[in-house]
Amino acid sequence: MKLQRFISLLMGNDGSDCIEEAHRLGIIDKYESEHSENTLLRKDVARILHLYMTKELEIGDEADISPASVLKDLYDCRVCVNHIAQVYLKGIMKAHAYPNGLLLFDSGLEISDEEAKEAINILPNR
Amino acid sequence: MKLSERPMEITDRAFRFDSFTDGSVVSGKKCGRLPAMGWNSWNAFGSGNTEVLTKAMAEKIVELGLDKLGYKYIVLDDGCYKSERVNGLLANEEEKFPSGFRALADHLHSMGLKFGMYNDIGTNLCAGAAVGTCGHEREDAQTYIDWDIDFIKVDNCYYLWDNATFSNAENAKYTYAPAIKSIHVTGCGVDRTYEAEADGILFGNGVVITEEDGVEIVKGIGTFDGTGPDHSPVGDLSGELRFLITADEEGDAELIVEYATGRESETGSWLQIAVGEGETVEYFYDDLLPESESKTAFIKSSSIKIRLNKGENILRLMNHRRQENTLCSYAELVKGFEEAFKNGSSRKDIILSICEWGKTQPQNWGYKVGDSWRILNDITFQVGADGDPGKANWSGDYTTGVTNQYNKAVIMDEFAGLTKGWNDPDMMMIGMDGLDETMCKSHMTMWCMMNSPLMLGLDLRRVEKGDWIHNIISNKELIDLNQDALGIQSKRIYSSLEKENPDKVYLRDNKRVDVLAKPLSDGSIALAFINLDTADTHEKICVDNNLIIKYLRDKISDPNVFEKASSYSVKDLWNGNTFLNEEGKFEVSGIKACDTIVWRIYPQ
Repeated sequence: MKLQRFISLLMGNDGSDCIEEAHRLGIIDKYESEHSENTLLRKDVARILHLYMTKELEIGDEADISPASVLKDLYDCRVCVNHIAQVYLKGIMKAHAYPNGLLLFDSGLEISDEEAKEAINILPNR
Repeated sequence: MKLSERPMEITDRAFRFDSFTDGSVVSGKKCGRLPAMGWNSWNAFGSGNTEVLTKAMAEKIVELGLDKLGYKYIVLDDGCYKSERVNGLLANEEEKFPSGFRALADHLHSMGLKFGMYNDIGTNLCAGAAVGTCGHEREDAQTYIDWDIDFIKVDNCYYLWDNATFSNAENAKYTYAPAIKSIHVTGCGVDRTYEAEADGILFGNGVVITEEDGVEIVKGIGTFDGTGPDHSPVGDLSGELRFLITADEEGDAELIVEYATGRESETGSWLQIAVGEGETVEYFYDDLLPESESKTAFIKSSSIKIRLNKGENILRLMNHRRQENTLCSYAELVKGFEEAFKNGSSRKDIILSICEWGKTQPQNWGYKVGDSWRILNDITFQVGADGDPGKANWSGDYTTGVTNQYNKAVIMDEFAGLTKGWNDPDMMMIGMDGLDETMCKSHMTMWCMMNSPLMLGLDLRRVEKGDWIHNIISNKELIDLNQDALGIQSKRIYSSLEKENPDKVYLRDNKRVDVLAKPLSDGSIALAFINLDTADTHEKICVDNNLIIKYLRDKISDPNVFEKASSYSVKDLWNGNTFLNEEGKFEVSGIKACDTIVWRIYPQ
């Protein structure tokens, strides 16, 4: 899913100003606001959703993120560990289950339309 | 710019594994510096730091008098650059840093502070901006000098030659040798097949004999990944497969290796072949091998020419490139600075803070290029933001926690020193949520005793003169331990969980009390009793001057004076109390949960 489409769905705003609004709210950065055609990875969506929850929906963080360490790749993405942990622990984004019980967040994979829409629909207080 | 498809050829022996213990450093690396002190933006603001916030932190540093205590470096971490280069050069993110970095440097310098920045040896920074130094070392070094920096922290994300954070996981092919089944040597009176499992010598650590599809092979030829907390940092951290080849005469011989490649931890594709070790080592192959169809489909290499001496030869199949490549990448930046200075830029001190998270065991090689080296992944992943202090743990999952970092750093003292540099257990978390006053006291004590860089990581606007946070971070007598001219990291001389080798054994169970001893330049000793447990301990713990001397004899300025003192004047560095000890036995009876007692002991 492209950033423009995702932000439109997230903010319920089909207008051309939704990217600018998302940037103003601080849920995407300047570079992203200038590249709204970029395809989103799962780690990008985790970050945007986490920032949207804290900045716009005023939902507090889970204090203890250690239960998210069931995701074997949690620490592979140093700068998004907390974003991933928060959306995972709040049930907003799901892990991918692999054989032998392996659970991965797959932060580097592109997010599918279904996954993105499902995550937005699960957001509380929206 | 087209990036190289493989790591650089190493022509300088100084960058080889066998030179890691020779004490030599690259041109431009300055020895004799004490641990850096200052403030870094990451734990406080993550990628959200700005020029306004940075200036506010600088003002608070001065207002709180922290600059006078040595906190001089104001370091911008990730998130401050434009996301792409501009005409091939680094540029400031204009919304966050509208005045540019040179103006910010000038501002900080005018306040008597020093200016630090951040980059990465990979293609991108960890937060994503495509402005890593990889392939741009020369121009970036010049840019940093133009910006008048005094310090640079260099990360390891998106690194091309390792399976680092955000790198291609298959880059593991560069970091491990292929699995080896056998070798065949022809020449110099030798014509023999040597089976890896039967004839090979497993040298070092991590290399193993295993059975794959009914065939006995050797794999794990490479270096442990030290990013996580699992491996001890002490001892052999890499493994080789060696063969003893007895030659009838000196001359050239041919070597054929039967191998299978992979692109994962323990089975890679890069092989180094050498004969001999140390100063006499000669390399005959250092490259990727052609890939096999699978990691169990063994194939034979082309003939590789080697040279044997008459008599016994040590033939080494190895891959030390994980360490060598990373060292070379950091060295490129140092060379860039040197080149800029030679081209006319005014020479100045620039601290290099290596931040490859302990991945390639930088305690072995970091001293050659840098002033400090991170020893693990991050101390917290729940960093703060403007209005959010972030979250810290005393003891957490993976590497997250004061004690997680301490447990590794505390046995790494022999890697640190004035002629080398400092183990870096990451920026401090004092003032973040999750750590109470007692924990922060112990955190400060640990970092000071271990000669760790003292980089504050909190929003200093939350601190007022005389409050408990200020009292901790401004404890001059603690800072004096860290900045003592002797420059020796404390040694753990006692642990309630390890009586035999407390200085070497990696302990991760926090239900214990440690005692650290640190020699100081005036002949005194700092002694810290640390209860890592989250419960009070009522145990009586006593260390005497004999135990202290046993561990510090070759480090203390005059061991006889300490050993034969008639009495000792003792000062508690947290409460200021002093007392006289006439027995040379230093005892505490119980320590509160997570608390610390620190004494400075002067022989009389």
